[in-house]
Amino acid sequence: MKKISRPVVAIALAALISLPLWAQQKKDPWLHVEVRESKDEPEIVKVNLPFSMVDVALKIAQDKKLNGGKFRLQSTELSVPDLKKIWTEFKKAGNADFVTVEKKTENVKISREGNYLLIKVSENKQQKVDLRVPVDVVDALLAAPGDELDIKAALVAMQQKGNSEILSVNDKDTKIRIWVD
Amino acid sequence: MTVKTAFKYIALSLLILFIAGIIYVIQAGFALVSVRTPDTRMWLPVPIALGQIAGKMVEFPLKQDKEFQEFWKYREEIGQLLRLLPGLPDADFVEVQSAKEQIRIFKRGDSFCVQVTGPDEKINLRLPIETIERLAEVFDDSSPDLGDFFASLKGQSAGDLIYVKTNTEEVRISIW
Repeated sequence: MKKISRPVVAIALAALISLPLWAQQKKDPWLHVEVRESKDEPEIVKVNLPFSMVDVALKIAQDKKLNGGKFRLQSTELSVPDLKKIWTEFKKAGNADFVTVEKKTENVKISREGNYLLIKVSENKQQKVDLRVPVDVVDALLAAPGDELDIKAALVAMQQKGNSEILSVNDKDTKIRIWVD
Repeated sequence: MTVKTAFKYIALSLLILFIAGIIYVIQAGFALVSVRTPDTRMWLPVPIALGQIAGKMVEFPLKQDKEFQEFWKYREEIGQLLRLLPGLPDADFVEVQSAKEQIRIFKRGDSFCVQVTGPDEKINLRLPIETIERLAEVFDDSSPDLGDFFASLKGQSAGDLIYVKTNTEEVRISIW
């Protein structure tokens, strides 16, 4: 039997020892937010946080509207129960284009493709909003009772999805990108 | 044993205790506080061990401050955030770049750093991970004193902890 050289054994041992550490780091996905504004005073904001920190940060969030990870939507036009009803009907329809608005300078399309809800807005044939949200995340967001959106549950669902681009907005002056890896 | 011998032993014991105390103080390190303003130049070495002992007898200065009390309500969550930091890889957590200021909050090696650069100020904060772990324990206490915060600095490696420079003043706190 061929002898295994010591360097090979050392490398194999190092890989085995570091595997739990790598697995631990891999377990906790990171949420990334990047905002670029190119107005009179250009500004770039980048936030990179592991979901374990986002979870704790939600508890600290001072905003009165964000209580325990739940956001109360105060809209006079569309309430959360209405959103839930609309979403339930959308889900039954399966893969389909739900809303298509075509104007001279603006196009809006809301559709479902597989396990993703897609919202695309373009102006003058240029993509402005490109939102791609997993269906599970929308389910989690609308799971809270009453008129609250469960931001915390949506983040947990995003975390379970792993690598995924959630939101991309390209405006004349603003570019926003949110993704998980 | 004669009285003279007894006194000799007592004096020797006191001397050993004194030397042990000096060694403990030196081992715990010194916090050097340097302040420069147009009117003042101050350089003050504070033994961390003595600061810890003295801090136990002094009420935490910000305890009655409303903003601090509001901040302290979330001490458990802040403690949880601090405990997460040592296990994280090197990363830039927050980065803001604009024409007027740059802000960076990041982790490099065994340090957690905050850098703020603006037209009128420059702030550098470096907290060793060991200090952060001890600070997390301070946040477990519902009523910490100044001594607890001093204790988190004990035995740290030498270097700048805090550096603040504005148009009119410069403050540096470092460990030696």
